[in-house]
Amino acid sequence: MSRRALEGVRILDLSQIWAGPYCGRLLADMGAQIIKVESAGRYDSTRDSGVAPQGVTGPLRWNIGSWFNTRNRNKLGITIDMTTAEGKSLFLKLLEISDVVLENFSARVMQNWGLDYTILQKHKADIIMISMPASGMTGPERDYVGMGSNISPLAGLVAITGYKGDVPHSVGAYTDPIAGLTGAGAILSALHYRARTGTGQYIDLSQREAAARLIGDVIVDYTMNGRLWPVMGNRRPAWAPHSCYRCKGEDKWVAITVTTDAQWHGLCVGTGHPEWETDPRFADAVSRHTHQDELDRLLSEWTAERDHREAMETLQAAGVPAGAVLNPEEMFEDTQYAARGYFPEVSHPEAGTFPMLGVYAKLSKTPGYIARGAPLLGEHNEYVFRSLLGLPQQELEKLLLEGVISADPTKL
Amino acid sequence: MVEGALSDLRVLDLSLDIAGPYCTGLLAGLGADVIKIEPLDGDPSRRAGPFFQGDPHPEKSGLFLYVNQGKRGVTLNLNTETGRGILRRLLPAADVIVESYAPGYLASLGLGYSQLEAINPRVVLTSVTHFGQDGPYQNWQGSELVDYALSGQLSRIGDQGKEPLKTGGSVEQYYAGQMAFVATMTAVFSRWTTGEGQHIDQAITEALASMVEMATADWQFAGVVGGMGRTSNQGSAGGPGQYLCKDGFVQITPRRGELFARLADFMDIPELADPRFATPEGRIEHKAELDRLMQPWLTAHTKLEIYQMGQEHRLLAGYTCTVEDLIESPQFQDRGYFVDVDHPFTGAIKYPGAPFKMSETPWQARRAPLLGEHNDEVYCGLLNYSKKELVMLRTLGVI
Repeated sequence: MSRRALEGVRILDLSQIWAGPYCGRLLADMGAQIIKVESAGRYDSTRDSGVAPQGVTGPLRWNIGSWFNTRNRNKLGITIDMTTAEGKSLFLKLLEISDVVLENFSARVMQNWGLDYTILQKHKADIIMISMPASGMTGPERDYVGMGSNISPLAGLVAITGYKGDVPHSVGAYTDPIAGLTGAGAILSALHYRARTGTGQYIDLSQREAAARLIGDVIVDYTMNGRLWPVMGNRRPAWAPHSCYRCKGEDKWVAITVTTDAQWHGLCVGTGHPEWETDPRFADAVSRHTHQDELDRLLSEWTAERDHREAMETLQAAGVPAGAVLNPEEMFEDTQYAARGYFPEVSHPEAGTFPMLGVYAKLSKTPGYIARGAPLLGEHNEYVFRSLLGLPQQELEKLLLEGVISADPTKL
Repeated sequence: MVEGALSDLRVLDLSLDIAGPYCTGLLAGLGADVIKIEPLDGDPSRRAGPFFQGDPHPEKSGLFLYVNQGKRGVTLNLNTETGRGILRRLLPAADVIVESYAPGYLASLGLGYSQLEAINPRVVLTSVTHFGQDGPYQNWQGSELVDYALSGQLSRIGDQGKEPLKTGGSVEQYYAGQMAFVATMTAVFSRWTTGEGQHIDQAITEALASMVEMATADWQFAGVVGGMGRTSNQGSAGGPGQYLCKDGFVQITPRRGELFARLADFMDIPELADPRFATPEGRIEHKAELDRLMQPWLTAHTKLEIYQMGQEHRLLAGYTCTVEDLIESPQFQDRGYFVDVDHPFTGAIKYPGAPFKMSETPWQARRAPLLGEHNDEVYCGLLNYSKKELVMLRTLGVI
């Protein structure tokens, strides 16, 4: 297969769960070598999340979970007990042949291990290190506990989300992938700077700050005008119709958004309701917005008689932005994702072969791809410690005996 | 000028609205020289609110001002042969071009990737569209809500029995723009080895779908739809969700693996330590009583108090921050996150600042350009047009 864009970049990855691993996935799919550092006593807890493949009865539960398998494909896996002196020493040896250290622990962990950036820099002057705790590495709240469920509200995303007239609504752990995505961009920027200057650096990424940037226009309405946005469901201040409409079947919806007169015309034609165009309530965009309750009711009558994908196709053919609200099963059936090969099949020695979420963008000359499934726990100990580091077999056996690089959680 | 991580890069930004321009806005904040090339009547986001003091003036759109920070701005009419020639003349010095036109549009103007590559083999062309450059949906219309629906994410949020609920604002468009930034920098990095540029096809829906790792995996592995589900949001019975307190909403639960009785201690309500409340099942069964016990305490305290005290007690506490809360947050203030940026039409306004802090190459917050502000600087300064020729180009409707 062709060379991938980030081949030659080696990232030592101490991160767990979502933010850091998602960051690593975006880079691994494009060819970066991500060495995921876990331990038998403390492996990525996502390994125990999700579901096991139906019909698979292998003994090692921590290798066959659905979430871990998708998120950590393309990565190498090693085990090091980072709480031991030998483990830290081994980590430092790996550091010397790596380009980036990625971690998403709470603020004090690396410091408590004696492995913060000032120390790492002494071992490798041009190392790039990135930390991505909830609130950043400094400030009065740096030691506060954060998980996606409380970080999303703390970043401002929840206050502006909700059904009209209702309380703010949870958005899930949205801040995790936002932080991971932001981190990937930060690492690539630092790599670029280092390529032209030889200088590494430290990146302090606050998950809350990264997420707040995605509501920048909302923030500026407050700083310019003192205005706080109310929750407004799926509607918008100037456009109508703009919402999700119930379709035939159980919990089936189609999103329809009209922002121009041309799209409005298309909607009237596509739904077979030319009389709406001459209805005085809907004469122009302003009055359509004013009368959107009635408009939504009429549109719902049309969508209620149709399959959501059929409604989408009919309206798109008439030039109207419309999208069926796809559930995961429907994503795999969708013709656009299929045409673009967005769900390639990936084989894993214990989990089996499955179609999996693909690469996030297409690069014409150095395309990303999924070369391998997620690593078994400690799968690449031999390769990394012997081939990459050149440790003699004797030393490896000693470390194994002492439990420093054990990969077997059943023997703790 | 302080050195930025990407100060060696020049970017031509042909993109419009949010996703593409947010990508190039990140490049600008990291030090790249981004030339925003707008149609003569400007990026449509100049006509979208929120507007400064409610005045719908093209230089007062808060959306435009935020997304397009740090760029130089020129106007260019690509529907003229002269205009297309100017773009070709800007090409040799460009590292990156970002565009968001419908698939095939630039090629129809003789400005497709193969034509651009012939002039500058090192250029990276990033094309951002809703659905991608090919496939049955390539000519379809997209929007924030439509993209959200087709990404698979929308089905996961909201209350059961009600319509699915999108996150407020335009979060998904920013997310996709940031994804395009990651793709662009990936290709720029590859250039260090290959010496060549390439064409990037970033579909917004594919960027968003990349977040649906858990639900798609559960479906494939076991035919179930797991992960985040559509459940009630109202905080209750000590579980997740929004709890109403004195002046807003908070989140307050023990940390994973810790006893619920810790809340009894924290709120000084000994009844909460009752063994009936010890398990999640028990808490749901006795929900009404539990909520009745907790509510007076919640009503008596502000969100900031509950957040700070809760965290000091090592509970998983949070508060639902409004934008006002973010601006006033002791943490955000200590970190200097919000930055003042001056602008001729609005004066100094606070904006979100750096998405991350780099120790060697700090983020640069500079204002967005006025329409055609740098026509002189770019066309005369870079391309050596005379002032007279600049006027001619204007009269001819080229710039």
